[in-house]
Amino acid sequence: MSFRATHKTTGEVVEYNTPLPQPEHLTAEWRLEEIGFAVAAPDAPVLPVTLYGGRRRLTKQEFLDLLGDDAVAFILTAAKSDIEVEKWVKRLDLTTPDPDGTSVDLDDPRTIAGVTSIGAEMTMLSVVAADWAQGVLNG
Amino acid sequence: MANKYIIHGATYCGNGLASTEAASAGAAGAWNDINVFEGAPPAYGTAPASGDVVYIRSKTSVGADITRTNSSGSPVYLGSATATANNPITWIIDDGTIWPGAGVLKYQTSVNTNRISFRANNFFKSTLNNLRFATTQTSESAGDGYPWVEVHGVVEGLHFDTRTYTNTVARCCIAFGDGGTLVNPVIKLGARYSGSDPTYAFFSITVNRGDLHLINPDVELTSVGLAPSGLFGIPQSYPRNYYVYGGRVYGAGANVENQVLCSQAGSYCSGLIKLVGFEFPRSMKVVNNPIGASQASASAGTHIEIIGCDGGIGGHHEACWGWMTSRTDNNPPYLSAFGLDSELTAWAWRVYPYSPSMQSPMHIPAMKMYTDDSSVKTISQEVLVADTLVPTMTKASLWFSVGYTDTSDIQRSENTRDSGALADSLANWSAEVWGMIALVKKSLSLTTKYAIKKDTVITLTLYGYAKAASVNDVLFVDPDFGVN
Repeated sequence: MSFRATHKTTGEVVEYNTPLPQPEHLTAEWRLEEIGFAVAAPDAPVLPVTLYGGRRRLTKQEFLDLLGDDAVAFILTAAKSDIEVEKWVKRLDLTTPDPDGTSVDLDDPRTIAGVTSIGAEMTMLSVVAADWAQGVLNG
Repeated sequence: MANKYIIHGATYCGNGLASTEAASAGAAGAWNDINVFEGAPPAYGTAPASGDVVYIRSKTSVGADITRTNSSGSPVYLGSATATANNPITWIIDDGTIWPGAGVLKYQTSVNTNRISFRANNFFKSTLNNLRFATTQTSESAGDGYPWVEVHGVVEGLHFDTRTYTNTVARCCIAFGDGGTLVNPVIKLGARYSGSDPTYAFFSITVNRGDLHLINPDVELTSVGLAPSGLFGIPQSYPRNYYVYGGRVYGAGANVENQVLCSQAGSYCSGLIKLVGFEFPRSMKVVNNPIGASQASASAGTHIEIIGCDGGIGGHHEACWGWMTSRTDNNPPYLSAFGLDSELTAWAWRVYPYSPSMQSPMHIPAMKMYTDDSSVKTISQEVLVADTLVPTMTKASLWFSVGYTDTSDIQRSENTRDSGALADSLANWSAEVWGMIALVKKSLSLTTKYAIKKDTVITLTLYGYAKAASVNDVLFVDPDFGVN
């Protein structure tokens, strides 16, 4: 262990590496420090970026904004020919807002399944980036 | 939620769940390495989780203080990333309550890239200011980055020391991200940056729309060099707000004439700087340059609101039109307003209208509770005007608006704005000079059209457009307006 002892009156500094400090440096005349290396993290933890402050229930308008214009255009076009996509759009369209005004729950399995499925297709067609679905479900 | 414990240097690493040293590895007992505080996973037990309280002995197991150095080129992040806003993690540097003796946990570095960063959603508590940051560096090259400490959570009792800095190229600061709070920090500063860029102010908010909260900061400036960058930097563009409650700045550096409290670099500055009970010497300039110096910037949003800066209740308010101060430690003339202290110290507003305009006039509000019987009253406002400013002070450029409730509960508003010269006054001010400035007594008044209702509030706002041509163009305003 590395120790640094500083005499409080004279300012004398003594530094040494031993398993234990010298007993005189534990007396009131000295200020004793054990020197060590702090753990440094190269990166700060990256918290997911959210549009609505982490809120998980959204209004229909907020959900459409979260999907993004490119994705919404693709979904509406796909709904004309793909019954599964149309069903998903219709479910959103016909849902009556809850008393708090929201209609979409980002943790609802139906939301997760729909976003994930359509996200995979749009990613394959380069309509959106690969992390689009995760970004939507993060809020 | 659990209590967990760290005794740095204990022989064995326990599971963290007891304050005693573990009898063997993994047994019940404290963790034995302070690196858990720095984000490293403990060798045994469960890492700190949301809602936990972690107690840290401030001495090692053999009784030494703890000093941590860093030469990695990366910051040290204190606290845990797993903490959440609803369930923060609390880290307490023991003050002798749990373990005998109170030591010091110090982070020391010589390069700002090895700074410490207090993570968001974590509380850090050090009641004896024994959580310390210090640098051994004496100078810093231009272009080196900053800050030395970042605050994203709530930190109580930080001791920050850069007294080793000796040259004025040195830039150091405590940076706040999108929000953070320092409670009872003790800050000892050596030489500071000699440039005026508010980016290099000591307290810095690095994220647009972020807030900084300081509670009872004790800031000592030990170097006598001027630091135009100030303690608080007013940003341009997006607002960033400073809230400071209690505390002081003092020392040889604070008493240097024209040392700067806040700094700004352009007309388009924005945000709020609010200081309540934060004491600073009267020799200190509140802002290095006027806020919003041009009419084009009349909508500049920065406001500086200071209450209790002179050891009493003296205040200072500054916006783009100018400033007004009620400090009593520079002997202003007074008329009839007396303070709340036991000495009933008299006071008046000293006003410096450096850039008022129609869009952003000088405006000084006051209010009184009217408790007499309902009646028509004459409202009057006494002022002392520097003789050099008198020619520009007319009933059109200096007037007041009074608001009151009449006996029918209707809100009334009347004003004195008119043409012509201001009326001379015979009011008995305590003095008619201030330093080398000769002052002229003037008065504004009106008689209300309606009776003022008993037990209602009267508000009076004094407006002005006349612009000061020099620093001597000041006026004194008696806050105790007349109701007769």
